[in-house]
Amino acid sequence: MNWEKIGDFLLSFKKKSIYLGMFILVSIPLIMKMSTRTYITEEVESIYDKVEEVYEYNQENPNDKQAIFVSIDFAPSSKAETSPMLNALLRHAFMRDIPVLGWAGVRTAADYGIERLNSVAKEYGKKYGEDYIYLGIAYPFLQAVLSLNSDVRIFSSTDYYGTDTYEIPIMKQFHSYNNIGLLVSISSTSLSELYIQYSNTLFDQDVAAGVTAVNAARLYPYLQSDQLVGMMGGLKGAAEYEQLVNKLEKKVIGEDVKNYLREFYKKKDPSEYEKKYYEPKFTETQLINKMNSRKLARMGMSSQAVAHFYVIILIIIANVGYFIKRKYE
Amino acid sequence: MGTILWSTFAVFLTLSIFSFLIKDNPFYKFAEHLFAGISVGYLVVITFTQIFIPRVWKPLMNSIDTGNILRSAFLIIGVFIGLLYLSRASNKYSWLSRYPISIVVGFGSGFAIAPSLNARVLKQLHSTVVEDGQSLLNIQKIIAFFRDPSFSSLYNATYGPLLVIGVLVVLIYFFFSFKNDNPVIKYTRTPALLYMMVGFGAAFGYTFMARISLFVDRMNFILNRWWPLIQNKLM
Amino acid sequence: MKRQYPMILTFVFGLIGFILRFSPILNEKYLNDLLSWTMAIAAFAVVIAVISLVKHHAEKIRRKHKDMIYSFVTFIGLIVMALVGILGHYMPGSIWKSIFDNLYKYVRTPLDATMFSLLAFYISSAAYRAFRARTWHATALLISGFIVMIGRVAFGPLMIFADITNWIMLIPTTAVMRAIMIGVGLGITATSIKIILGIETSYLGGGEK
Repeated sequence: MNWEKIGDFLLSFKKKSIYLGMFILVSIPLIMKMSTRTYITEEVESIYDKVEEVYEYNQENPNDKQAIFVSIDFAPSSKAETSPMLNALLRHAFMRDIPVLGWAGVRTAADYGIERLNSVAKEYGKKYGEDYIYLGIAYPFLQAVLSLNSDVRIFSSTDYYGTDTYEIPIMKQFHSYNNIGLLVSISSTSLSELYIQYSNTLFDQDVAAGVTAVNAARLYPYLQSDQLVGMMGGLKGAAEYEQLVNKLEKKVIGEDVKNYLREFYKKKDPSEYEKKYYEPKFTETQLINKMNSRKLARMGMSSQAVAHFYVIILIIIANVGYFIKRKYE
Repeated sequence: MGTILWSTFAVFLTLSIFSFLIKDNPFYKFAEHLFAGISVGYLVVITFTQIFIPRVWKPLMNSIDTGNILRSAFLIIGVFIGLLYLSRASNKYSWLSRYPISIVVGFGSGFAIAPSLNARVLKQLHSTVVEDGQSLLNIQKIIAFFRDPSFSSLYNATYGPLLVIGVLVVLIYFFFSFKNDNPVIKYTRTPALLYMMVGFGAAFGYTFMARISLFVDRMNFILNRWWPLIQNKLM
Repeated sequence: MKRQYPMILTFVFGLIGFILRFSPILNEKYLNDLLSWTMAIAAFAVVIAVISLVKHHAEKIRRKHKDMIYSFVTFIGLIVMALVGILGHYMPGSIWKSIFDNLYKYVRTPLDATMFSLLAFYISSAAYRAFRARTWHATALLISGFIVMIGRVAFGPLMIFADITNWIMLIPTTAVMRAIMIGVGLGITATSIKIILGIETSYLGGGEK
C-alpha cells in the first residue's frame, strides 16, 4: 500500500470543500426539524431553582414582592446563543407572575431588548409599567449599576419610551437591590463579570449569568465561589433552561400551549391593552413562531452536535495524515 | 407582504456575506459597507434618544425647573466638559478630548480598585480554602472514600485537593515563569502545564461551540423562517 | 496644558473615586450627584465612533479611492438609519418607526450575526490545518477539547463524556481560570494605581506634551 499517498490525500482537503461540508451537515437537522433532549447541569438548574424561590417568596409575602432584574448585555451578533436564554428566562418569570425589570447593558441591544420583552409579555398578558418595565440603556455602566443601590430612578429619569420613571407604577415598589430577588445578566461581553464585581461584591445582590460559550469557561470560578448563583453557557445552557421551562409550562398551562395562546385574548377586553406595546391577538404565523421559539435552542443543538462531530473527524483525519507522512518520509 | 420583502432582503444580505467564503466580491463589499453605515447610524439614534435626552437633557431641565441653580450649574459644567469629546473631529484641537477622558478614566479606576480586588482576588482565594463553610482539604472525605470506595466518594475525596493544587501550581507557573532551579518551581511546571492544557482545551471546545451556534442560527433563519414564508406565498 | 492638566484631573478624580468607596457617609451624600455629573460627561464619548467612521470614509471619497462607491453606501446607511430612527422614536406608530424597526430587524441584525458566523468556517478549517498532536501539551489540549465538544452535545451512550466534561469544567478549568483571574485582578489593581499616579498614560493617546 502506498502510505505516503494516503497521507497526502488525508491532508489535501481544500478550504472550500470543508466549508461546503459544514453547510450541508448543519442544514440537514434543520430541514428535518430535529430537536433533541439534553441533560440538565447543576449550573443551569440553580438559576431555575432561584427563580422558583422568588416565586415562592412572593406567594408568601404578597405585599413585599421581589422582582427579577434582567440585563440584556448582548449585541445581535450573538443572539443565536443568548436570545433563547432570554426567552426562556422571561417566560419563566412571567409564568410565575414575577415582576420583571430590564435594561440593556450594551447600546446595540437597546431595541432588541424591548422587542423581546414585549413579545414574551404578550404570551402571558403582562402589562407594561405594571408587570414589567424597560429602562433603556445602562450607559454609562458604572453609574447605572451603582444607582441600583439607592434608587435607579436617579439614573434613569425616564424609561425606554421616555415616560417619567417616578410616574410608572411598578417603579414605586421596585427600584433598588432591596426588592430584586435575582439579577440576571445575559451577555456576550464582560458585563456579567462587572455585575459580579459591583452588584454582588459591593451590595450582596444575587447574580446569575447567561453567557456565550466563548465566555463560559472563564466564569466557572465564580460558580465555585458562590459569587454567581448559576450560569447558562452557550446554546447548551439555553437548551437546558428551555427544557426546564417547557416542563413547567406543561404543568402550569397544560399540554396544548398553542390552543391556549390562540384563545388567550379572545376572552379579554382588547381596550385593556395598549397597542404601543403589543397587539392583543395572535395571528397564525405568530402562533407558529411562538411554538418554534419554545424549541429554538434545542433545535439548534442537533445541528450543533453534527458540526462538532464533523470537526472532530476532520481533526482526526488531519492528524492521521500527519503521522503517516511523518513516519514514511 | 412587507415581511416577505424585508425577510428576503435579509436573506440576500446573509448570502452576500457568506459569498466571501468563496472570494471577495462586490456583494460582500456592499453588505459590509452597509453594515458599517447602519451600525453607526443606529448608534447615533440610540445615543440621542436613549442617552443624551434621558440622561443629560431631562435631568438638566428638571433641575432648572425646580430652581436648583447650583445643581444646574454643576450639570452644565459636566455637559460642557463632555462636549470636548467633539474636538476629536479636528486634528489640531483633539487634545481637548483628553479632559473628559481623564475624568472618566480617573474616576472609574479609583472606584474600581477595591471591588475588583475583592471580587477577583480575595473572594477567589477565600474559596480556594473553604467552600460552603468546609475546608477544601477535608481528610474525612478521603477516609470516607477508603471506607466505601465508589466513583462518587472518589470524586468527593479528590475534588478539593485537585482544585487547590491546580490553583497553586498554575499561579506558581505564572509568577515564576523564568528559568529557575528552585525545586518547587521546577517540579510544579509539568502539572501546571497539564492543568492549563486541559483547561484551555475546554475553553477551545466552548469557543468552537459558540462559533457553530452563530452559523446554525443563520441557517435556521433561512430554512425555518424565511423559506416557510415563501412557501406559503407560492402555494 | 495638553497633557499635564488632564493627568492632574485623573489623579484628583481617581482619589475621589477611591475615597468614596471607603467612606460610607461621603458615599451616601455625594455619590449620586457625582454619578449624574460624570454621566453628563461620559454620555458624549460615543461621538468618537461616529467621527472616526465619517473621517475614514470622507477621506476615501476625497482621494477618489477605487472602492469609493461603497463609501457612499456607508454614508447612505448612516444617514437613513439615523434620520428614520430619530423620527420614529418621537412618532411611535408612524411609518418611520416601522421602517426603523424593520431596518434593525432585517438589515442590522442579520448583517451583524452573519458577519460573526463566518468565524464558524474559519475555526473549522484552521482546526483541520493547524491542530496537530505534536507534543504531549497539544495532545492534552486536543483530547480535552474533544471531550468537551462531545460532552456538551452528548446523549444516550455518549453520556459518559458529559460526566467527564462536568469534571473538566468544575476542577481543572475552574483551577486554571481562577489562577488567571487572580493574575488579572492584581493586574487591574496595579494598572488603576498607575493610571491615578500618572505612571500609565496610554489612555490619553499620543501627541505633544
